Amino acid sequence: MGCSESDYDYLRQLVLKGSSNVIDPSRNALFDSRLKPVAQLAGASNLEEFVGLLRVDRTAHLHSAVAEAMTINETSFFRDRKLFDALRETILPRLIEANQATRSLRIWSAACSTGQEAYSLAMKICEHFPDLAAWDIKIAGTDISRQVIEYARLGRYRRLEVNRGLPARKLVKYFARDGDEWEIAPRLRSMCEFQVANLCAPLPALPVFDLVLLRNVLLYLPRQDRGSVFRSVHRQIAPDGYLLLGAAEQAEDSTNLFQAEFAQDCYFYRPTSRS
Amino acid sequence: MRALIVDDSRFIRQHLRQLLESSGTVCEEATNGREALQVLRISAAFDFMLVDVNMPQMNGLECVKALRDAGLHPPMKVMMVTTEADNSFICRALEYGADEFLMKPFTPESLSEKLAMLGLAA
Repeated sequence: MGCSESDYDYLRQLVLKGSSNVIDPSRNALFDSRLKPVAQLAGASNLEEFVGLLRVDRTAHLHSAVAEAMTINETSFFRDRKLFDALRETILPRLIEANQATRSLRIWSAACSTGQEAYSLAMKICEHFPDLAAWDIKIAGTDISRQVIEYARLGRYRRLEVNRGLPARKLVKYFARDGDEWEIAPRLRSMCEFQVANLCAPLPALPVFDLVLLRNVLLYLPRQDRGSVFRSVHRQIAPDGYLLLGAAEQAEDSTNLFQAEFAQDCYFYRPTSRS
Repeated sequence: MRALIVDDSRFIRQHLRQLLESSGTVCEEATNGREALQVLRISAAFDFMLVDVNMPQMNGLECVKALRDAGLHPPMKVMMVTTEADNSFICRALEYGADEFLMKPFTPESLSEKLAMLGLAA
């Protein structure tokens, strides 16, 4: 497809405004590949024509379709095994101990993409903490993209997706094959709820969470938006809750709302007391 | 790290060899289950074996069962790399002694993730 530098800049601003996602000029080719289907749906024959359409037609749905299409949806089951080990051995046992009275757990997979992280958490809990079968456990998955949320809700994955990060024993235990897809077990699906939410905008009604996974999101946000996301997460997290970031991300430079702890080769963050 | 690649497709063997050698793994090849068992009987220890299922002379499942029954290279990890995808088939492969399962077609990322699961990260 391709378009002029000023058109790419226009698209860059549109995405920044819509999702706070920073697309570096060195990655202009991403606009070409990601926006092709959106442009075709809008009736444009190339990217230049599509940008022309966007500049004239200021309807929100087309602009948000651009922001959604440019969202990074890279994910896999049990992404970052060290972190899932830390969850099993340190964080979940501590939360279970702390929540014995309420026998409930609320977990948030923020920027959940197509749901693999939420379902991986559900598998981890079923596999290693069978005593929690009688607990009230909900894993909320949110993402800016309506398309990936619908995909996550289905809980059906293709061959290339179940090949990524999912051990064979878990595949046969927690998924049923249906033609070319594998469907997550109803018990795991019932633990997970998915909804659209933009982390850089006012959030929909969400519960207070014991554990928040906000991984590989902050990397793509400008500094001021990182601060705003941390404030939103801080409002949603229990005073003794846990925040987990991606392996390449850290909280300290953007906020004083969380303090880092280190265990089992992983950093995790605890909220500082509310002001 | 040493790996044995067992597949009757020259293309797949080359592809796997390239991926593994790029992370420093030394590879040997066999074109079917019987040849794989011969290699295993005379070669130095392998860290892991990647084995296809549908091959002439001896298929991958028979090969895995035979090598586990014979106690050849017991610490060696075995991963099936195949187009077979039925849950019942995967269960049988695990029962016969396979440690992991990768479905074709696969990506370099999925191969390295599966190897990492087996503690074989390069």
